[in-house]
Amino acid sequence: MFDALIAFAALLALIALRLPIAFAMGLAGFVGFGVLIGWDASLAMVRNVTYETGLHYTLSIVPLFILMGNFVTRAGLSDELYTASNAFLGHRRGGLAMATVVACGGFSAICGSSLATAATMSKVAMPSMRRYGYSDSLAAGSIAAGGTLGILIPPSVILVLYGLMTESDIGKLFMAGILPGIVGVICYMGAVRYTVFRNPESGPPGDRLGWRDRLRALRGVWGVLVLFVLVMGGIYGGVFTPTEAAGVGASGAFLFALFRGTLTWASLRTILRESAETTAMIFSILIGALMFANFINVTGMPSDLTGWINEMELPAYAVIAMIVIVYLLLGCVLESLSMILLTVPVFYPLVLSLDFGTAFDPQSVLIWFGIVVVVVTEISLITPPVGLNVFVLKGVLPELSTRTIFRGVMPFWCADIVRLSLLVGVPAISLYLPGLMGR
Amino acid sequence: ASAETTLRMSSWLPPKHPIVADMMVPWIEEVKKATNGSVNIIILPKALGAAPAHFDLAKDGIADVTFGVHGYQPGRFLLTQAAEVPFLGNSSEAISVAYWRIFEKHLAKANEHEGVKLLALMTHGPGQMFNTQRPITSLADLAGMKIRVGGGLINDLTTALGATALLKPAPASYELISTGVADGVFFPKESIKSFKLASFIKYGTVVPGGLYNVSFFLAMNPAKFEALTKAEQDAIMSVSGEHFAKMAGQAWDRADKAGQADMEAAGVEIIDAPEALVQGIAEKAAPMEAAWIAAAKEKGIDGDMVLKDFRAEIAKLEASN
Amino acid sequence: MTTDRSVQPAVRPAAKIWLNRILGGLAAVILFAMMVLTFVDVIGRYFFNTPVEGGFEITELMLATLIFAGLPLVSATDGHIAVDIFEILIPNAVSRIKEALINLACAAMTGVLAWQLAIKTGETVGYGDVTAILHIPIWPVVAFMTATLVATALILVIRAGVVLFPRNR
Ligand code: NA
Ligand code: NA
Repeated sequence: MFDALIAFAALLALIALRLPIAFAMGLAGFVGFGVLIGWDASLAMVRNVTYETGLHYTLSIVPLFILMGNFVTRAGLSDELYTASNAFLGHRRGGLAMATVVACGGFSAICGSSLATAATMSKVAMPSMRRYGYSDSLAAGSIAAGGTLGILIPPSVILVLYGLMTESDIGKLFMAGILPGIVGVICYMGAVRYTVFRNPESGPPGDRLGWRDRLRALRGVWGVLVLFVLVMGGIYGGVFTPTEAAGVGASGAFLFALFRGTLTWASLRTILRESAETTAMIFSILIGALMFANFINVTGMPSDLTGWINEMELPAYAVIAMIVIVYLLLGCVLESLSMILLTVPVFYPLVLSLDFGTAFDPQSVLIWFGIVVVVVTEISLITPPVGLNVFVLKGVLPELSTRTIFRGVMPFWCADIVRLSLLVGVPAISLYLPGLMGR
Repeated sequence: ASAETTLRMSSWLPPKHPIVADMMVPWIEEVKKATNGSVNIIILPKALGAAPAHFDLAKDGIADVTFGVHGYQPGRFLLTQAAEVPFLGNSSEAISVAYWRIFEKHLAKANEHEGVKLLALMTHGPGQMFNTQRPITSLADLAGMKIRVGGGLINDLTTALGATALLKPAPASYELISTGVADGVFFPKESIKSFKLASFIKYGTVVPGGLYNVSFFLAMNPAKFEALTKAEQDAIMSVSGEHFAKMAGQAWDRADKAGQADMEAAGVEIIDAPEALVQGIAEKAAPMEAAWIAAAKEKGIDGDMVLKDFRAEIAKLEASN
Repeated sequence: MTTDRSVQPAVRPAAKIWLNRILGGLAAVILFAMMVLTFVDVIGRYFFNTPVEGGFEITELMLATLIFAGLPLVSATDGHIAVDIFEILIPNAVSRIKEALINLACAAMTGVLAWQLAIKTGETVGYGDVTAILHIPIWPVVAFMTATLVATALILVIRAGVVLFPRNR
């Protein structure tokens, strides 16, 4: 247990030195395993982790969902989503920001990554919010926060990794993310309302459209709907597994981009290449995290932790509250993917050992906990000082200061805490839809 | 020996799986008792690698003790396929004990387990046919059905029988069956329960002696084994080898009974394979057995004699029970 | 980004072309093929009861190739995620030395990994490890992983040099 804590501290120090996170985790894992077990074994361990993570069938879902998101953006579906939600909401005060949040939610239904969602929507939504005189902080805040929905509303790369680590049903995890995602959209709209209530100048109303124009705009959304129904319907209807869904979804998005004439040889090459680079970046982190997780495993920390908690006989929900607080703290400094990969192996045996009475069956506990973990991870994406969605926005719009974006994100962060409490307190929000599956 | 040694076991199966709960945990207790508490084995909370890596985990000292499936690493183990052929026997206890005996008599000299200290071998109970579509009474019923299999000889046999083989890891079975991607599985009865398939499976066909089997090993890092005292080594081996095969085989047989009860409770319709179906399977399996015998010959092993000895040993053990 | 080839030494564009064309092109082709393979597999299985034989093991081999083809590309563009919240506190010169050291450290780690995968390549050759259905030998993919790790280590060493001695233009 003590060795594990030292290693965690060393890891954070290495990360603060600006060592890439993937390398920091790999190094900490390698050295820790070497000290505890032996150096030859540790060398063999890093060799085996690298080899088997590279050749891991289920992980093929990662590049294919990334590819799907990139094709979808190329096909222009993100613009149509924004136009449609704007037609309904734009004329209200703060309406463009609310439309941004709704469009982010819609885009999340066809994109597996939060960073991609934020990057895409910043290009789509920022120009018109600026045109209508929105404050930079509200505009940027709504995109950074709305973008986090990408990993909660299915498809989601993070839910897949969680499912692999805990041996939970990935199809059920996807189903479980839908309602909490909608709750997230509603909470974020509340945050926009609050912001314009405090400062009406930050979000002036846009043009009001007639119903004819609204319906016309709505027609543009069918592409997104088709892809979402293709992916989720295919999983639910037994046509393919969640792993295969990524390949089918990417193919569908490719066909969309092709038939809309938005693909050229050059753009196809760029999309494929960028997706491949993102894949390599994610797998570096994955491989590093698995090395570190193997070390944590041999320290016995997960079982020690479970033993202590059981000894203290805390009520189950108190333990969950403690875990959530740990996540919120880690979320200040850790990147989302590494956070999940590092902590889930430690916490999930603990959660499984908790006594919730008759509230869940064992499999549902892990589904519900997965949603809670993903929501705290979403929060980490907009928590200073290391909020990746904020950095993504800063990358796309360099003239914005990080401080402005974080200020704009504040109300959304509070809305997230409200949503988190709701999801922890009312597990049915997460478990209702998956409960309908597989009967 | 006064010093206490703690060995780490890596397990790729959940703690409640029969292999862990009813075979590994009791064996660990036996090791502790046989060594008067000087060798203590702990099961790590999580596996240190994927299921196919578990031979290498023990070889490279990443973990001290592991168990695994020979067929998960295609190309490495040939002779252990002797335990995968159809119609071996109706009880895991008899097959596993006979397997250890013929291994020591015929197969050990080929040294296929080089790099680890082999502690024991076993097979699960007879593998059978389960599906969600229709009762299987002939090869025609099997035609075109999508069946999840776990690799090894059964993969080729499934294709030869006219079904479509979906080779996926065992834990993927729930996903494949519950979503309808696969129509059926080839599994021992036990697995229908442990992978929670009973509510989806509607039909089972039981082949006398089993349609296939899976060969497992229990292994230890050789350096860790050498570091123990001679007395400790002897104590561990006294509860491994044939002793382990018997204990684990009995546990498999109990788990199969529990699987059978689970399916009966769920209303699964289970029938015995008609003679014509058994004949059909035998015809399709014969060339595969011949190919195995030819391949074994290249390793200097008389495969024909091995299979004959193996079957005779199983028959003897089943008769004595 | 535009590159003026006339003012750069010949080795840089050559290395860049090698990276971009070969590895970038390979990664792009493989990713597209993975997508098509899954699609054909699903369609074939659902409508015609004929899945692609061994489809999932081809996917596995392609995934490893894809990741490790992408690795040198990511490393060449500093695409790894790192946290730079404390950078403002550090003087420029110190920061440059630190950056160079970090690149060298990453190069060393990648080198160790390359050495280990060379060992793994030898093992997969020695054991004759093949895939389950199509019996495709696994060693060429492991050898490819080794080669790209070596390339990545070299790139990181070059990056250390570039950070330490930025050319004034
Ligand atoms: Na999503
Ligand atoms: Na953060």
